[in-house]
Amino acid sequence: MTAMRRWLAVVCLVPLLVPDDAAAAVPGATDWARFKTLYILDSGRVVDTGNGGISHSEGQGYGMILALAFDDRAAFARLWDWTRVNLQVRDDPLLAWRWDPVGGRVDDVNNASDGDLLAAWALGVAGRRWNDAAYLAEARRLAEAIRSHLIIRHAGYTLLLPGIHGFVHEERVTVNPSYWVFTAIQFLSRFDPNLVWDDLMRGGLALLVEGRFTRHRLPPDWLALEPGRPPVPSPIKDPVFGYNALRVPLYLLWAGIRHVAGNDVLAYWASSGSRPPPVVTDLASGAVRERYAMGGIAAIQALGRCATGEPVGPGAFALGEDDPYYPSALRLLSLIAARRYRPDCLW
Amino acid sequence: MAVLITAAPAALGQIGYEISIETAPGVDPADILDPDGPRIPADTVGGVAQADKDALRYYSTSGQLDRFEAELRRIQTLNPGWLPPPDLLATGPLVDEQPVWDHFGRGALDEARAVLAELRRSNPGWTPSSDLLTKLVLAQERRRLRAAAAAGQWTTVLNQAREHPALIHCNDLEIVWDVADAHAQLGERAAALIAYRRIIDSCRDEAGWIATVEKASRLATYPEILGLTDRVLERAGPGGRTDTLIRAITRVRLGAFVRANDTERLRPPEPATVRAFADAVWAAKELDGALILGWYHHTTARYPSALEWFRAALAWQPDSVGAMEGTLAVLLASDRAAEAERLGRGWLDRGGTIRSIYLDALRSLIGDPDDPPPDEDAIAQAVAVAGEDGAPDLALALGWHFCGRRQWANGVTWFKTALERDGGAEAAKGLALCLHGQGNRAARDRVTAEWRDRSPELAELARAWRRRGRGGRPDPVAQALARGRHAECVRQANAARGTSRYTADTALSAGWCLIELDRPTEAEASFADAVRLATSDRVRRDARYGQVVALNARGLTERAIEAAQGQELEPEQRRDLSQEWLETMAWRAVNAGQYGVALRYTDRFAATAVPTRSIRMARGWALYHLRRLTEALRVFRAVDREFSTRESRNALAVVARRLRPD
Repeated sequence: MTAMRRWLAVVCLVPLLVPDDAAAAVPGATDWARFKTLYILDSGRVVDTGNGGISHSEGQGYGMILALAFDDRAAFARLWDWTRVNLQVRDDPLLAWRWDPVGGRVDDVNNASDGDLLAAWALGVAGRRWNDAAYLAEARRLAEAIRSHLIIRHAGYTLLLPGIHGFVHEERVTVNPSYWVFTAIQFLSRFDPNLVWDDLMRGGLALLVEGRFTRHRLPPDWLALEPGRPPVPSPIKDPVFGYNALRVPLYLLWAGIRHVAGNDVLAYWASSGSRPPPVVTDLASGAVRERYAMGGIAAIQALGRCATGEPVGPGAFALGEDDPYYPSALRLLSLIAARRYRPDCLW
Repeated sequence: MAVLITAAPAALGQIGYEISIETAPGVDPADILDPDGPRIPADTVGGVAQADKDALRYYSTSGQLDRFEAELRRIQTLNPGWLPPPDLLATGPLVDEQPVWDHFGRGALDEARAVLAELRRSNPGWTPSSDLLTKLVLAQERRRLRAAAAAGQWTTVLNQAREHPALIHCNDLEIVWDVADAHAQLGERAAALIAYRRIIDSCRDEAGWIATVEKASRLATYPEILGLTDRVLERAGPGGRTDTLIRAITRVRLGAFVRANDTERLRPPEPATVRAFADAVWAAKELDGALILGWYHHTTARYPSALEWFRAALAWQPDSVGAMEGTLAVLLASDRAAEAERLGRGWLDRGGTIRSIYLDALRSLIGDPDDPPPDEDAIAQAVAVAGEDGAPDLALALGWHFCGRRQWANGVTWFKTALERDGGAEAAKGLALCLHGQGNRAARDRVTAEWRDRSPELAELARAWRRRGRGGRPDPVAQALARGRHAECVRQANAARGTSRYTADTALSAGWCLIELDRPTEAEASFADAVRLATSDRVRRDARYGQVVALNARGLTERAIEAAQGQELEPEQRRDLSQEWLETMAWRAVNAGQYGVALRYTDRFAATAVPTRSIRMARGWALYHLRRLTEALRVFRAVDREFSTRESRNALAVVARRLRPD
């Protein structure tokens, strides 16, 4: 104990190397604290405030990834604990995707594979960083379940099924291009060595080349694939480039990938000039359905500028005044993506 | 003293968790312990490494609740049931934990954790009691188990119970019921019953016992319910057998007896207790009790008493659907269909099974062409109801009614309606016959050509018509079979015997008529004639199949199997095969549209073993196709109550659609 005190004293004797406000050392730390206050309950439940206060595996996964980025072990523990107790209740290790606060229970026990990917990635990183065998074991179980239940080969692509149920109809498979969290897949290919992760990576990148529509070449929220036919926007979902697919440039740049699909989306937003960017675009007609200054999009645009080497500063990712959960999550995710990909743009 | 109860080794293999109980003073643990001896959780403390305990102590003293919980969970996974000893944790400043306990006590887990976190922030160096910490961890695991149960994820429920044996406790029967449900849902009925039995063996709480036997009655047979409730009485002891307990047990027993619906082999509950129950129900004018008693008397065919109870229930609560269901069912069962029809008219949209019983009543009034003509009022009512009813049954009955009276155009209209409403082979057969009567050969042959592959009877009929078309004579035997006039069919066959008119087809038709008349020995002989006379493989094959059915109907299941397989069986094989075979044959009959035959197989099965889920589903579908919808509904409901699956829910939905076309 005496030795430890002495060591602590030594650390305290070198104040010049440690900024006065330790939080300020990490870009976005204040925003993370605000994010927790606004959207994460003490129990570890991430509340989708723009969506009836429900929770979902994707939100829990975002929360865990952010907790890791801000090295917030206590928050991570709470987030995972709530996820495990309330969502990891399926008979396989995957997470039930949707939890309804009205009934206080899971109201759709199907999974969502982006939530599963995020959780597996976060648990794997947490297990290694904090040397925690329980997290590592959970990460392995999840990774294996994703690999064996959700990754399929169809119509010439290696695909990520969006969920166990409801996406395979005879010859047609429906996927969500924005469920490819490329950084997570990159991590899992090292963590759970199996070539299928590399195939999945390639499959997602190929879809983003071939599955683009309108003269702006936009990726759809949902894409349908049949053997021998080119990919089309899913006929069973709304054929739009919208709230799902707007994450495509974020996930690409976060993984350090320059890709035509990301560039085209950024160019499309930029083409609005001084008007607010289009948020929902009809892929059949090309018409813009919704256009407003969504904070999440501004942050992803800032990330795009980072990628070109433009210094944007951390202010470009600061949380808005009254933003609901989703745009705020996108802002913080863009920030940590920038930190990882081009930290110099935050200086 | 805390002890763990384990089942006999075989059962433990199925279950793999134990119920932890507090044995009451005066209870001999030997009564409730496994012969292999108890396992006491405190013994396992030695199995936890010092380093692990050190880690726990470190996390608790350094205030890292999250790490403490994770570590405790890890140790408990390796050492199920392990709880940290109270002296493990260091003490610190004196802090009142009560606010945390208050939230915890009323189940507000999140608030409890929040208050705890706040207390730690404001009292650095303070360590909460290990009791509080472990209870909070356990409460989280309990929440996960309940969440899995609510989401129907039954394997997760069982895994969670196995990993956290401390959850299984007399103070928290909801969890044990969830576990029993999980077993039941996963098809492990025996394990579910063992879980219920352990509650009764282990816990001492009257309300808990009552709720447990009520839950068990959803999947236990009547004898099992008797065993379970006997055990409750034994455990209660003479002093603990309160009126409430006795009444509740009698209610459950009566309910199970009614559901078993087997008065031949099962002895009803003790008359004295039934009387006492009846007195209490009468005095309290208690609706549910009256309904149970009504159905009890209905099951035992004491219709006047049954009617008395249902009428009393109606008097106590004039809008009770259950009471009206019972009243109508009793009237129908005691051949008072006309009264049931008049009484039920005003209740058609009230839900329950009323509509189905009412339609049964109408059908039995007009259905059988051999019966005396029903009153015109009933026919008018049937026409009115069938017009707006989306189900085929009443339309079928009307088709037979009008065709039987040579009102061909009316008959054709109703059979067409029935066919449009998925009336299937029966509607097609009726339509073909009616068109034949009308003289509309072309339309008749179109219907026959479309349906002959799906209806053996229609195929017979078509052959008869073809012979006549070629200048031959009509086969009156096949026609009588098709019209359901089985006695007439046999008379015609006997008249033909010994003449050139007694062909393989005639013998085959006569065989099926004899089966319908429950004269299997003669049927077997008739099928044997058909095999001998057969000139085509198809007729020979059908006749061989008839022989198998006849043998089975005579109770000679093993010989039937041998006939079906064309080889002799070892005695051992016979026993193993017979149930499986009966099940297969029942389904084959259902799929071939021979629903009466299917019922014979399911009856035969029930006479030798407790009916499996599959055999009961086959029975339900056979009843459904025979338009015995109320009975079918009862079968499917019982199956669904035990373990609700997509299959049973689908069956219920199909029957319900028929009953309530809107």
